[in-house]
Amino acid sequence: MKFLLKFTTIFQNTGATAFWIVALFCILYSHKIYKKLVFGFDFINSEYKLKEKDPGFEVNYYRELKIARAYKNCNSSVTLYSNIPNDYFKVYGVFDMLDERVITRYIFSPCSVRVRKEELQEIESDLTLIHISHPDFKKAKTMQNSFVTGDFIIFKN
Amino acid sequence: MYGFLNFFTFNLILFPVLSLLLLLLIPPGNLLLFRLLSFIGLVTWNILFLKKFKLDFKINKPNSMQILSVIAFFAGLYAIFFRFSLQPEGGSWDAFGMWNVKSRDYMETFLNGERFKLIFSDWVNPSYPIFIPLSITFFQINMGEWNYYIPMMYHTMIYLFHFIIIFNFLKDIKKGILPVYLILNIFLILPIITSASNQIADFPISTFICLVVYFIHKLESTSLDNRDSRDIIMLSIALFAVLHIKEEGMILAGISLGFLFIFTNLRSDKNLLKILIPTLFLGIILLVVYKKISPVTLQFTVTPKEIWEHIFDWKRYTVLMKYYLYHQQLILYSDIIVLSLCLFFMRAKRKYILIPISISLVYFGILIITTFNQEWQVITASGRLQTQALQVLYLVALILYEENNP
Repeated sequence: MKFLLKFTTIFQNTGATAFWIVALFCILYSHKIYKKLVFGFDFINSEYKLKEKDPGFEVNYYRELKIARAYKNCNSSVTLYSNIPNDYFKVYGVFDMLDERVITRYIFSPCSVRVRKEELQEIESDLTLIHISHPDFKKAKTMQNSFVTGDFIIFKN
Repeated sequence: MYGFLNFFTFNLILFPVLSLLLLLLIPPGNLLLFRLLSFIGLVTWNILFLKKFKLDFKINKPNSMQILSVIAFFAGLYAIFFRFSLQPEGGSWDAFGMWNVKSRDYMETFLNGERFKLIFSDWVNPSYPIFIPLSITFFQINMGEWNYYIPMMYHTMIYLFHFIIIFNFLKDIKKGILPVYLILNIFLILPIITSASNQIADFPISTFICLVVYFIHKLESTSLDNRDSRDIIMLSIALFAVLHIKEEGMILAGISLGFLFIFTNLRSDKNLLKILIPTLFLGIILLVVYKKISPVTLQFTVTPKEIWEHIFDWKRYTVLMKYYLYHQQLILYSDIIVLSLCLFFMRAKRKYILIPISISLVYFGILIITTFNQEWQVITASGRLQTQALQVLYLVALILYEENNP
């Protein structure tokens, strides 16, 4: 009885009522909440698994850019030809992935980076990189002065 | 533990300041001189500071809440390393766009013997504050080449700093369900969220604003005659740091200063004003100068007409509410739970709730009037903005719990 009395007085306060409404709402959604609990590790893992459709793409992309930089440093600018869709790096949701320009700018720091999707052209820069996604990749492979690092062709200027 | 808090704050401020001074003053490319002066600077600063501050580095026997916080801290630390193991390059767009590119530019130009440039016009956000890039540069240059683990270590250091603030606060707290819930949120949920997304860049600013709230409360709880000038200095430099960490710092500093001057008796403390106002003045001047030099001042501008239209566009509110209801991820409605508990069950010092509420309201307003694609901005920004408010909310809830359960 004492418990019941105490229980009813809780609801006499408007503030407390509001709190219990929120609490009830949370209980109703507890099955959803539970899925995302388990200290969040499953959650992080599941986001990471999205990468499986193209395993390690971003890591490879990143690693190969580092190889390109080790091969030839730049002094002021880099031109990167690639045709990766704009949203490709953003499919991972929670990780909010990098985009090409920021990654390349970071790897070739402090050189400026021009990312181009158009046909190959004569552009003045220290280094020209052609990614495998670009339509002219095969054509560029046969050109002179080129160096191939897996997914990239590098031209020193 | 109070000694550790002071020690950490002073050194976290020293790294970017020393880095900037050395980059400006010493000949580019002279790594030996950079290392030598860094060492002398760090040692001198710490000896002077320790002598002047007479800090107590004793760690008393921890209470049960502090022990829980240590366990949760290590679990959160594991979450951070777990995340970095999944994505070895560390960080996401924000971390690279705001920090890593900038710090690498500073480091590379210095090591290549080129003249120091404060702003590179092709940065994605050239006007973004440089407190963190300069801190990372300090370690990177001393390493002699770019080290991919330094940004991760810096993030871990900030996480440890946040732990010290909370651990220090927990020394006088009574056992209870609410503090347990808050500790688990602070050290498990927050690090997972911040580590799992680009919010790594938002963690430091919310940690420093927590430090501001911690010292406002500490000073307000002490009588005018017993106020420690060390606390006043700490509050001032924490506010200085907040202004220079992220663009949101201007909002956060404005809110906490507004609270300090309107709702606390600190406004009549002459000693406080003597230290706080010149420090803030210097901070604001430096920020204005930096923004003036930058080719872009703010990320987006909005006209009064646009504000008017966006405020009365109800679809914009629906987008935000839908996102809030269905994209809670790991937060698990803890913001509304903690807020409700504080509002309805805490009486003493309830005014402190105004700080996290104001932060949330300002961000809510920004997401309503934004000139970017609203849905895109809500998805990419609201989570991290919410985390900033959450970190402060949890600390405020601990403060209120302590005040209401003496």
